[in-house]
Amino acid sequence: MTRLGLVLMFVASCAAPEPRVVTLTPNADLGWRATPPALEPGLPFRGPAVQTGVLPNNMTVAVVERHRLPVFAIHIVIQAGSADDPPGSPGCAATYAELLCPGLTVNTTVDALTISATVLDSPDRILVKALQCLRDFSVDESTIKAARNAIDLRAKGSSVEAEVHETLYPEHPYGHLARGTKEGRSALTPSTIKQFHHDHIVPERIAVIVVGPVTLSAVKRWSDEALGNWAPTAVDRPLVPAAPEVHGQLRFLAQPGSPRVVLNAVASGVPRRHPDALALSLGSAIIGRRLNAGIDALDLRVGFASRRGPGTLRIQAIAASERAAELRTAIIAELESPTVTEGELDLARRDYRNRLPAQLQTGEATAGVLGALFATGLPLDYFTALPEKLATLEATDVTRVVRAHFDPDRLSFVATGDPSLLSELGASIGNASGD
Amino acid sequence: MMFLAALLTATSAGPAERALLPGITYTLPSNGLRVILSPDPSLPLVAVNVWYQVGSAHERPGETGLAHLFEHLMFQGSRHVPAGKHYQVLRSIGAVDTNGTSSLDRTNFFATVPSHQLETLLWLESDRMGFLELTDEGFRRQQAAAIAERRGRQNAAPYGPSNERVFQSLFPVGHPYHSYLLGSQADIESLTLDRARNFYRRHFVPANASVAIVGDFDPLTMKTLIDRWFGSLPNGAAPTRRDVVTVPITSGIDVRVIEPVERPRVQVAWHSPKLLTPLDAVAEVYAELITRRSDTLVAQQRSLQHVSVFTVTEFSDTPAGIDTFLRTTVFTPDEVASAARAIRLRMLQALQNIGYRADRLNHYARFAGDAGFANEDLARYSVTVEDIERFAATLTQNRRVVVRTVPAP
Repeated sequence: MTRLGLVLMFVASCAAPEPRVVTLTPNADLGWRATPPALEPGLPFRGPAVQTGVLPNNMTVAVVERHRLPVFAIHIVIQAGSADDPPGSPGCAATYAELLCPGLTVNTTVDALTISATVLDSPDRILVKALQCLRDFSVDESTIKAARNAIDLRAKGSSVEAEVHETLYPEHPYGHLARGTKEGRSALTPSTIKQFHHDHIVPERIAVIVVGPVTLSAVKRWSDEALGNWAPTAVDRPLVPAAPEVHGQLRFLAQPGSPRVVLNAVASGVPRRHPDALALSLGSAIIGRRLNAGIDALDLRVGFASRRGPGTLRIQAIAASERAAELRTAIIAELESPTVTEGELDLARRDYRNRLPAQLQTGEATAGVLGALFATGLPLDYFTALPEKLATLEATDVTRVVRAHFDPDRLSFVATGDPSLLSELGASIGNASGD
Repeated sequence: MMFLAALLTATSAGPAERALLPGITYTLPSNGLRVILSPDPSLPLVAVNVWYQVGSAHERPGETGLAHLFEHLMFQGSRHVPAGKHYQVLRSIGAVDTNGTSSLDRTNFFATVPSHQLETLLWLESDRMGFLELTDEGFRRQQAAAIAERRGRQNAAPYGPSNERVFQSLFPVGHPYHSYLLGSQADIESLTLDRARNFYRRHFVPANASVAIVGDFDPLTMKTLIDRWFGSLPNGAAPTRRDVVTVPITSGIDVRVIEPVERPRVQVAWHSPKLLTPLDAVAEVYAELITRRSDTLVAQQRSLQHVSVFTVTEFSDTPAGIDTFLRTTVFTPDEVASAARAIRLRMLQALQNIGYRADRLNHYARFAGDAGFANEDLARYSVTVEDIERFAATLTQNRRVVVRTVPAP
């Protein structure tokens, strides 16, 4: 804010009604301090002011103007992720991302590729460079090899995430991690990757999102100048199929000598665009609160990772090894009575509304949140309608959704701990496998 | 009147450039608390950041570790906020980014809340500023936690004893930075509840604190709330400050520390320019340049209030590699500009977070004497190759400390 702004603010403040003045001396009776301030009712939620446009070639452009600091967050989101890997080629999207735009960060998720950069000035230069990478993409055997090596270097060994994907989504586009598998990446050829580019990189599946001191018209102009004449034909993007029916599986990752067990109870949820997705998010928060109140664990979290296709519900609990089986039993017991009360829903609704603005503080985070909307097929003005959706949600809706998705019979388990725990956990769950 | 004066000061003549961190600074007449307000209505959030001008540098002989212990004790309950309730209340109002930290020069506590919950946060912070209640049980519990933390972070952590030895060698016994934040194990173990209470009365008074508030609020309403919750706190004089004299190193120090680690490591350290000075920025850019160019060296400028510390570290049993690199490496103007730019970008990215902004307002108010120092701070990074070369020339062998970590057999 400028100094002139401060003056104007002060003048405006003076014109406001006289504030309540409380005069106290340091030695006065301070018993009134024992009464905490009354909690004010929640303010109406204000989401980011997103301005959107569409270029003649159908590419989406979105801008959130923020003029306080000279920082530009640029995200170019492409609706193509590892779920679009060709059959038999897990890792194609990740390898394509590695090759796409040397010098810029390109992230791969199951649903999208995102080119991102944060700069202090000349955002047009980075934006044009990134868009031209999309138009002028090329690949050959030697660049694939370098990309493959780079991904291999970053890839860890066996991971809980990989086990969760393989457990919940067998024979499904979400059945592998975004980076794919080493075997899948090894088998990639230039023609496979060129075909991926041809099938998915089209303007109508791209959104340019910029947050910073910039206008929509400027970003549209730069994008149009870079890619205005580029209009390759789109092919249909298939819907992500429903998740297979899976339940009662146990996968165990051995960590010899570990004094702790990490138990992940997982199930598939609904796609983010599904009418029940918001109820499932709030239901997860309510279940999390209940489990934390009822189970003595070192750490316990409940979350719903929403996606374009069926997302993942997860209860992750950490406890001392000797409590492994008891932990599982306690989680199941807490899920036996899924009726959600109005009080629980009010609390969850308030928390959801309270915490959302904090996730939109930085340009990078805001662009990321908007990018996730685009990647999952939601409108970029999603937050405008959110308060009403939250308000109209009823406890019976959340109860129905919780009952359907947190059903103990639908849960599978991925655990890590000392190998001696496997038989104990396996006996209580069945269908166990370990490494 | 003081508030009006602060507003007029904030809006009086000054540089025409846009202020990165605009703020209204004033002092409460009843108890000397410094208040910094920076309204920003862009999101319905408010960050409150409380600084106490006390760190390990302000501990007396025999009480090292007390400043860090207070980082824990301040969450143990106050007269009107029962023990254990602080975090419970924070959770219930949707607070994020909540914590407290201590350093050699200061202690801070902070949280960000939805703007309509702000008053609750003022209640919590003001109550522990004025009415912290230390019980024997709470004190003993946190003393044990501090001992465990020291053991984990310093005694048993790989290279922890070596890092401590760097500071002890640069700053001999009697220098405020000698205790290196966590203090000595023996001192922490011998601390008493009475000593802690005295430390609290001496340092945790409004006149030795500042409150920075950033976010979605009306300044006049905020002033009323500050008057209510903080203006009513008991008065108390700020502790007197002693002058800090740092004896320069003139004939090099070379020490060995045997540790149960796998790889030998060498760390070379120098006294360097104090924080927020132009040369401090040059040192920071030089550290960035070294770390970027070298595959094996990591350099750091640790900026401190009285005198900073510049270190270069390598996994090696000899400083020869560091010496050769520093003696022979030349940086281009483009490299220097790129390194400075990266530091500026990190700083501006961080300033997007209102909690960080509140912390910087306190930082600048305390160490630069001007809460709005951000613009000048950024300008310090207009560093040239010549600036780098001049600073590098000061890193001589006779002025340095070398700490060699030798793996235990």
